[in-house]
Amino acid sequence: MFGAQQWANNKAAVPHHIVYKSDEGAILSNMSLQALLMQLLSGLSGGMLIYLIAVGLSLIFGTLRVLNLAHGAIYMLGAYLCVWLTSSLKPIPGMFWWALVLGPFLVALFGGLVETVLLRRIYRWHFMYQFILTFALILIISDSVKLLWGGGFRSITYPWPLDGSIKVAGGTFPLYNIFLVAVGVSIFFGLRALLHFTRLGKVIRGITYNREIMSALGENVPAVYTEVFMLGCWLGGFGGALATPLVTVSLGMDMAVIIQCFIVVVIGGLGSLTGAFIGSLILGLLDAFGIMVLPQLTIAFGFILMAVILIVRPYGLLGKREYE
Amino acid sequence: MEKRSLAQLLLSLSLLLALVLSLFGAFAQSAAAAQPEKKPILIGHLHPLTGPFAMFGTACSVGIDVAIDEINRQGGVLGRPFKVINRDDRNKPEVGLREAKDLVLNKKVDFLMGNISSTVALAISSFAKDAKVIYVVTGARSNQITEEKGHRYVFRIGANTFSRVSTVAQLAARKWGDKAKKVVMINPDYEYGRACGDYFMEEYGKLVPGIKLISADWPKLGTPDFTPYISKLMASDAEILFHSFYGGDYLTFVKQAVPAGVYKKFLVVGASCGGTETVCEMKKDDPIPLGEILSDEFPYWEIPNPKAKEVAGRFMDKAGTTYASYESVLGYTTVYALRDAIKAVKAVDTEKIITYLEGREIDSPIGKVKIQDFDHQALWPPYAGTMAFTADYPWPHIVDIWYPKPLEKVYRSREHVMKVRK
Amino acid sequence: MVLAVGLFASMPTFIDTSWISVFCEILILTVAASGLNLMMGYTGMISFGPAGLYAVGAYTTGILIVRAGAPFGLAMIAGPIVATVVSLIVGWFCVRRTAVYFALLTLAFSELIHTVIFKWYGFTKGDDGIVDIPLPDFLSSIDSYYYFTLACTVVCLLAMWIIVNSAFGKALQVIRENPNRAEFIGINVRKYQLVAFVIQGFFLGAAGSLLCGFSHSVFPTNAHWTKSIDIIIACLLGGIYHFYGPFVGSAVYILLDKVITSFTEYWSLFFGVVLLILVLFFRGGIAGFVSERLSSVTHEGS
Repeated sequence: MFGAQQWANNKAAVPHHIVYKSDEGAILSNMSLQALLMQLLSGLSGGMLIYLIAVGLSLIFGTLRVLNLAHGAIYMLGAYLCVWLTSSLKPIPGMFWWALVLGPFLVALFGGLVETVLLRRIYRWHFMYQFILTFALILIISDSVKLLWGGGFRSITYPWPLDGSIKVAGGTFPLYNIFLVAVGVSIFFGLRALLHFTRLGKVIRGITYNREIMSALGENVPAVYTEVFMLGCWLGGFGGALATPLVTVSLGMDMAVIIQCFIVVVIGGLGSLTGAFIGSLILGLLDAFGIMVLPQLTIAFGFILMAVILIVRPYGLLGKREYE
Repeated sequence: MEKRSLAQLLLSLSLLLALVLSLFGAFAQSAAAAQPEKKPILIGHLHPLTGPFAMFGTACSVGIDVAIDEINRQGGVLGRPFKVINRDDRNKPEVGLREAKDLVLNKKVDFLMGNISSTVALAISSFAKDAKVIYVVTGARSNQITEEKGHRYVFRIGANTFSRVSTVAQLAARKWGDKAKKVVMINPDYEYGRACGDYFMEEYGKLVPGIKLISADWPKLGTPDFTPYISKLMASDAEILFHSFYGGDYLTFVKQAVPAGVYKKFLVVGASCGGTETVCEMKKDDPIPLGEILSDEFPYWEIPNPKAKEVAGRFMDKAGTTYASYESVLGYTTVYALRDAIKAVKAVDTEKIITYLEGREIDSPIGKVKIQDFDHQALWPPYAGTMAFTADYPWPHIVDIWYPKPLEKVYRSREHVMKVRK
Repeated sequence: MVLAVGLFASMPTFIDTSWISVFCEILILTVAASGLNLMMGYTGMISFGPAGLYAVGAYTTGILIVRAGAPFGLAMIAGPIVATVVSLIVGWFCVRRTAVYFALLTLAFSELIHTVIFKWYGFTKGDDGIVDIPLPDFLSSIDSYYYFTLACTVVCLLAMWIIVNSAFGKALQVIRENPNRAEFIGINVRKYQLVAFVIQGFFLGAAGSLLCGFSHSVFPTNAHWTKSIDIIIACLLGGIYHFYGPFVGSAVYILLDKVITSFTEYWSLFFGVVLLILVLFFRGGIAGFVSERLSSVTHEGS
């Protein structure tokens, strides 16, 4: 008979809701090295998915010092655009790949509009106003999405040629997830290259340290701000588009994702892109191995880590303003 | 700053008052304008209209609208038309409660209905009890609504958690019981998920001796990435997988689990989720969970009663979709049940309508459905079947539908309900 | 102030019950927002997590009444007290951080409280929530509860008035303007911030307890971050630099919500646009805007 314990018999308790002793211990002890490896892979790819979504937020906060609550909504917009482009232009082979290029570009344009018309006015204000403004954006974007595409679920699956799985570590692992890892790593190195080896990158880093001096040196700071915001939105939209074969696209996916982004950015260190990368991996691995050991606490992992980091080392793993 | 505060306060208050009175005036005027004898019978419909469950709200609205159109075209009931007021409960109990209060106290609706979230439904049910307004739950599934927290004014037209889980458990036991004793489960971490997990272990355990729970996972509702859960499942040696995903979570899980081989390794049973508004997104070449046991309340492609398919067609026309959702038929049935009750007692009298409906067999597109008198739970057949692709529909759905007879067996007995209400 | 109280007290006689319910909500939100404003407006520390403490107050009251059968009065007092204790613990950790980090840590704690409430089924009944919380007979009608809430709100606001106009309150404003200077003149900034945090906790807990009685139920969503946003917006809309800002903000927020949802399904869009306009053009909040107008009018002579 399965193990069970009854909650205390009490007026407020409900007769059902038995807690089982599920046998995770058995799984753990029987787990072969290859199964552990699979779990590791899952954690890494999960972390990469989070990174792809959160990196835009990190970039925007790092340079513009704006905590963009609407980043989740940008992600959702990217996802819906990708699904719409893929399924409304079906006959063309490889449509997903075209959507992957076009969708985030449209999101970036939208981001540029938002920045120039709205955000620009409030940079000098206290950050709580950005909070409200970006929250208002969430409301507007999510209802606009509903107006355009309705409230139903949308789903597309793995695009050719990534619709199979490969045999790795004695098990099968979806090819698409491996692709995500590759993309995540590329984005990471790509951003580093942008920031260290291009002129724009150097200007961005300069502005992060001291906006006034850069302005005095003749740099068009407002334009750079716009460009950074657009890049951040592009990244968010790109993350959304990449996520579509994996997840279900529906209203509410913005809220589901924004807290995770915050957690990542806190763990890694506000403003540190490398930190965001490492933070995402940590969160992914925590989820993957946490569920082996403490499945009942799954929903709490992220917040516990966030609180611990903020208490012990508030600047996160990689410090306050590093752009390595 | 302090010296100004009195003046400020006065000004703000007068603005406030002006706002309030003008609104009040506006409402009073519109009420006066709609005075002619044909005062409509008002139904307040609460459901999420935004967010991840907006689908269900829209589907229920479709059913309600179709029913109201038909009834009004025939002259309404007692010479009065039906009218529905839709409100978004944002899946939050405080908002649902606030909207319900507004609907009843301000808009003076005669009936309340709807909701997919059991928490919201419980909050509204409690208010309906105090306000003495009939509240018909359609989508929310928790047994508590009609059992522990049931009362005279709340009804449910639709199945409940226990009936659906028990049905799928029985089907699974019949088909696979002899070879599936090691169970793994994965349920979203909230009341519905936990209740499903409990009920399944209870019911499946009653029919299949010696079952063992190998692992239980509780992902957050709305998890985008199930890969770690899937690899954990694949590492275990269980034989049967039970889950209670529905809606978006179900689609996500299937998309990720099928290619990973979950459906080849395990026999899979789901508590809900056969709903067409969800499965319609799976297309022929997508990963499909063939052979999975699922439950749906409106599998109109196989229901023997021809009215089912016909009404489904009307829903599809109204909504412009290629599928008809169970929430639509529940909304439709509810409106008709109210109409029939009003017609029979010849008045919009809450107490008389309740007495009429207790124990009554109401008409629905799937046939006659009995409303139990002691808990106001409709004995809606919680159809279960296995997932397959058939030629006539572009999406997979359950086939070989079955439900236990008599239905009273999967709905709780009078003794049980009386006991838990103590 | 007396005029306002008189106005509100006379409301039930000539306004519909459904509106009384709305005003009751406004009062409850006012108490919460006033508490938050002590941190935001007077001390200059933005908190992203008031909902956690608010829910602690609500749940304390609810659990005491339903599980321990405590008398109503005791349960209502216990709510803010327990919230105060929790805010002492939470605040001790939070005030060691500044600005954004402080805000994020309050958010983390608020979400942790939410998770605890959600998961600890045996104690809080998790996401079933606790419904049908009984109130004493003399408070069972909407009107009578309204008077009760009004009385509590007045008491709370009076207390807040005394606090912000005391030396302590002035010290907080000094800390807001320049924490370094405050240290130099001998104010122990950390301690004062912690005290402010704890007082905020008391008010939030009080609002939570009032909510418990108002809706006869408590739910984990009372602790969700979107509830925090409600309280924060109420503060900001009204104007954080004014004592009556939270009240004006709460009233506008709730009334706006009500009006918008009654005429459209796409409330989110309209609400977002209105918020945008208010943030961009009414930066000081509505009370700020009004007081500016007033001062420009009255200063015309000089």
